[in-house]
Amino acid sequence: MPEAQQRQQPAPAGDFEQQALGHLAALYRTALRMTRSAPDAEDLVQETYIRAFRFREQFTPGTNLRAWLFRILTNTFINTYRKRSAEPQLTELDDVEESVLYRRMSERGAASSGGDPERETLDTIVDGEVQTALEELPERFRGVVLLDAEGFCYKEIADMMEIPIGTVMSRLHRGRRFLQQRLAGYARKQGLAALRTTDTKS
Amino acid sequence: MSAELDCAELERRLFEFLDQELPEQVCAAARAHLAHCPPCEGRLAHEEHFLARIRQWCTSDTAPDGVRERLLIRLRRLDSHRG
Repeated sequence: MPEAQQRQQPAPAGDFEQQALGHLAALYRTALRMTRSAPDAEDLVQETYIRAFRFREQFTPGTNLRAWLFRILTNTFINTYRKRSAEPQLTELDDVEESVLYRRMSERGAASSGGDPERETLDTIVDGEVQTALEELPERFRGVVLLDAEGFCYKEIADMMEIPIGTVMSRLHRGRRFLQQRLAGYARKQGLAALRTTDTKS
Repeated sequence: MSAELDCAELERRLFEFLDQELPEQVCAAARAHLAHCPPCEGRLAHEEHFLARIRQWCTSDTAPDGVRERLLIRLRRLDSHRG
């Protein structure tokens, strides 16, 4: 019965299509940050929708359409775009001791203020620097960080990337530490620059 | 009655706590610890702030003009080929 209804339809105008298109903005922003290129992001999103519409029978009505679309996006990305570039290893992350950075910064900041020292440094970071830090994050870590930001739980991310939940957790953890390191590095440079400016003024 | 976590264990599971991925019992134990451990509470607040910043940046919209239009054109073309 559904087959008969679908045949002969000239344009995608059904409920499924409308609902799927409602997730375009979220899919595109994630695609853009995954591919780091606007043309690639657009290709990836188009490919995602073509597949979603082609395989729509595989979607169970009443389940999470957004998660289903993100799963297709992630799969498509992994199978096509990822192969283009050899992935750099994240060796520097392996050596990071969990809270070393925070302690170091707490000690440094403790004298100057009663508040959260690292929060203050984080607040000096501008969006462009967050973007740079994320772009420098190797792709398999960036993927979990992006999907987490879109509100998916560990289990959903694991399903989308076809990796165990433990791997999602460790990639998220290491990815976030990498970002913190990078952002703290930028903040430190700014702090030094600010100090120099104050010095020359006085 | 739930047992309490110590600082090291909380540190290890901080992201799970913030991501709301801890089993309820462990979560209660974490809260019990946080209630009287200002250093851990401060650490939690810091990580929470960091995560919010990253998530906010990752989900800010970026779609340039024409993405939707070009997508619809491609989908329609595909549809008419099939029909």
